[in-house]
Amino acid sequence: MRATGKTGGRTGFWRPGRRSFLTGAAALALLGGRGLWGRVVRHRSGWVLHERDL
Amino acid sequence: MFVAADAFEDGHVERARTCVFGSGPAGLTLARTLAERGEDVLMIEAGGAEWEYESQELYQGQVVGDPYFLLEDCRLRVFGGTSGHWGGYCRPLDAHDMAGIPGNPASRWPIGVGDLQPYLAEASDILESPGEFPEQQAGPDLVRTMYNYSPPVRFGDKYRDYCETSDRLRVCLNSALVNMVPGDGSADGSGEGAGDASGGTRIRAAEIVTERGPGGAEGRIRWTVEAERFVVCLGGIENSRMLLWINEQNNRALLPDNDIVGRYWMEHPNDSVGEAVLFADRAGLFVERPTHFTLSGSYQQGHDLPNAVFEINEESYTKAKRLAADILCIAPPLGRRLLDGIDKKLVCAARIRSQWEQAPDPENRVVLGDTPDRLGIPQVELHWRNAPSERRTIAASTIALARTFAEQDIGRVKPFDWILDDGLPFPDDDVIASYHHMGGTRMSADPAEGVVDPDLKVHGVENLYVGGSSVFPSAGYANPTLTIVQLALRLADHLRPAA
Repeated sequence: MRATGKTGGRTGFWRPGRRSFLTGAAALALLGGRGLWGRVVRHRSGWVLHERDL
Repeated sequence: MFVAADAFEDGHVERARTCVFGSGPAGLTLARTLAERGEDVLMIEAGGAEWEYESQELYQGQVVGDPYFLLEDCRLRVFGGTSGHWGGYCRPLDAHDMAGIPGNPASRWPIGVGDLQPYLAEASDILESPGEFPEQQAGPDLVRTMYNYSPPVRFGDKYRDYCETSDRLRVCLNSALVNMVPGDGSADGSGEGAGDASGGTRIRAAEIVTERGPGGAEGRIRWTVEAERFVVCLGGIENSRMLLWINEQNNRALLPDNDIVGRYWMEHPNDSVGEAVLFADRAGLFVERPTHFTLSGSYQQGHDLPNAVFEINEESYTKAKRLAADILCIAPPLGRRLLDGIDKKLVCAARIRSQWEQAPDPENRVVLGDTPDRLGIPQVELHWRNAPSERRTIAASTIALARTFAEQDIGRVKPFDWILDDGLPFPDDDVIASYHHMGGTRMSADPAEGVVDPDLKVHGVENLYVGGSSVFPSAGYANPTLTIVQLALRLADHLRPAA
């Protein structure tokens, strides 16, 4: 049921090797509230936590 | 009744008031509704009563752009159409879907949710699912939304007996639309009425090829349908393909010269966006599983975001323990609370999957390829790419969800790295689509910007209509089948209002 090489290779914006944090930065800018994250933080582990959790 | 088209002679002429092409959710809903109201309806289905490879291979085509499913796999050329692939998810479009994506006027519908609402109950009844979709505010910007589930209804199975016994609905199988012949502006081709106020072309007849035996091994019959009006309900790719091909055979003079047919084609990208630990009661998991969340319409409109839904799929006890142990290291009070809740079955792990709206893009399109199929119709060539804006949509939406889950103490989310780094690939699969084929014959009040008008009539052609998701100007996140059936019922009301 899945596409094979017939539909072409991996192309476009998620091409491996390209690194851009623009999306992340733009997304964070959309968070609003008090500063980028308000009372919520993204821990370096990747978890999005509330400041009362820490 | 089923009519044995393979017994027709070459040159046979079949007549009806309304001719519907395709027997999927759009075509069968429309044809049956009209027949129930006393209309003389002829339904032409290219596939047979059962799935056949020789029929299905006529859906082969090429994809240009991002990885996509094989075009002969992701739709069905058989009585009942692609309802045979349907997973049964039912949900109407949101009001803000039809208002369009902020900053993207091409995504605005020329009708509103109030135009479809009157058909919600009947469409839900046809799909054998509840017609109520209660929502709960889960936070200032977050809504716990819901789907209803059809068994799912397979239209071919559900309506086979009806089609066999109806004396107003005739059905021809294994019969493919290959061309349409315009008349002279009059309903009967006599020339009378050619100068009516609308001034558009009229279709006088449709040319059909019926194959005898698998793949036409026992011959083909070429015959004609003469009808007062024709409705093309061939699916979200074939509608564009056939309009393009019919226009091509008519020296590109049948449709307005605006190069819109086939453009603004859309899918519903979907992928896993993160994992989570959730307080089951706050996440609604004691009420239903999976649960669904979406950002509020006002939040999306205020942040120029297309629509997206998040499905919360519970994972194992072991996974919950592992995630809570991870959190225990970095946030001990929360970690202890989670571990205690897991043992009491109040906390669970979940994988969050999102399905999001792809903004309409004129470069995503259906075109005619160079290779003809065995009926002589060019195979389809589908141009489809995820624009960088898709990454922005899902990243911004996922982060907003994670933030609100933490603020409202619904749970804690760990978005996958690809959410914040658009250089990373999608995690699950090369193909991030949903078998949802939308756009291509988009609806617009302005003939310069769409293929069909708000009544689903093709601009510039007086008696040609289009049914199905190809008319969607934008896609929302909702799986399209319920909206397809709503639109078919609305079209039936336009063509023949209930007495």
